[in-house]
Amino acid sequence: MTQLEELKDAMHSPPDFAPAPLDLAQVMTVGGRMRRRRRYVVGGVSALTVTALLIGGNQLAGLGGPAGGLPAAGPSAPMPSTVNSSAPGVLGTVVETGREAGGRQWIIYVETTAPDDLDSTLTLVLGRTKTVTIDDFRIEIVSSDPGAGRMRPGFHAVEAGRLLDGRTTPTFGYYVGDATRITARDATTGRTVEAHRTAWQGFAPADQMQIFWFDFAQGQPPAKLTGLTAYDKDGTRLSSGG
Amino acid sequence: MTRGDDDFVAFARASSVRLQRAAYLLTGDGHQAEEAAQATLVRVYAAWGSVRRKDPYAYARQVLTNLVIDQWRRPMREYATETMPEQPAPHDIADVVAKRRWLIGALQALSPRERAVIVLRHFFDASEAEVARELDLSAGTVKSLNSRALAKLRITAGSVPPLRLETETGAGL
Repeated sequence: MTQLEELKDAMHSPPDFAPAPLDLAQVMTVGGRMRRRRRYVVGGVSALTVTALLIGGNQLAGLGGPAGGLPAAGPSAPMPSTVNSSAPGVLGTVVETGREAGGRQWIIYVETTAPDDLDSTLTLVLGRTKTVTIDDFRIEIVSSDPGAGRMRPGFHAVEAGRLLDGRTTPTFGYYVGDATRITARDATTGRTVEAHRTAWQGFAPADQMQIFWFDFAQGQPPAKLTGLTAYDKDGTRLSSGG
Repeated sequence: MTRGDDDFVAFARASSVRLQRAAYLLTGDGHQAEEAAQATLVRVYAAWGSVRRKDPYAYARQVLTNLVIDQWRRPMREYATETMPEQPAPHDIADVVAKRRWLIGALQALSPRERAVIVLRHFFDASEAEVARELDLSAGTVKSLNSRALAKLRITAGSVPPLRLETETGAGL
């Protein structure tokens, strides 16, 4: 037996490990629930894509116009509360950035272990995907505030852009409140840059939360952003929280 | 229960032991292995309609690997040690169980990525191209991780099987 065959033999018969019988009834119950939930997510994301294309056209046509509602795509369908009110995992809108790295699109979404207690459990995830289906989501950065207060007005879970395994990530986070514009200052150029925003909704229509991210160039060092600020429709600064 | 469900149950029964072993090799923990295998089958069942006529084994392998990698990424990254456990003393080498135990212990001392490459390449018999795709790494990185890990496991390079082509299918679970 060669050394490699010995390794394979050891891996196929690891001492000190005895496989346990799995609960297939439970597997099929949870898997069936996930299947139904995924149908909602995929349907929602498809709608999101179409909306984003339409809004992109409007933005081109309306350059220089007044800042209005959300410039980014509208929310995808929220998870069906009748099925998933206590199910952990991905919840609500999945934001497609339209930017890719290594053939996978950057996406931003919410995960929670307790959908009824977002104030303590809401976690923002930056991931990448090829197919925009849950099974294909690859987590790159997980970001959350410590403890409770995650749904208080202001900025939350903000992560600066960085180089991660050679890939440039966006600066991203979420804002709770009625912001119509979110900006930051590029510390290198001194320019003010505006974030992409997408309304996010879990189960409650009044969540008033939006996921935001700033433009970035793949393969180039991320911009160093400072002075994150949210404004309402009248141009008044809103609470930054904290 | 539909016919598709019957097919899934047959698949799950046939693959659960091997999935758990793979999960154990990837995590080094029996309880985590059981949970990871169960979670993998949940996802396979959720996608059963689309994967049952393709290659459910390959799909399960990819789901399991992704699940374990996600766990590595969440709390903190795990760092490998360059110091491997000593091989069993010469009189123990004849003891097959002792040798297996040493190899599994040495496997657990690898970095997560090295371990994943070893498990995918030499437990699942996946090709380098398949490993690269499933771990989202370049083929060169897979090759170097494999060589480095085998060296740490004291497996000589001459024992490494010839490279397989992308068109070859994996051996399944």
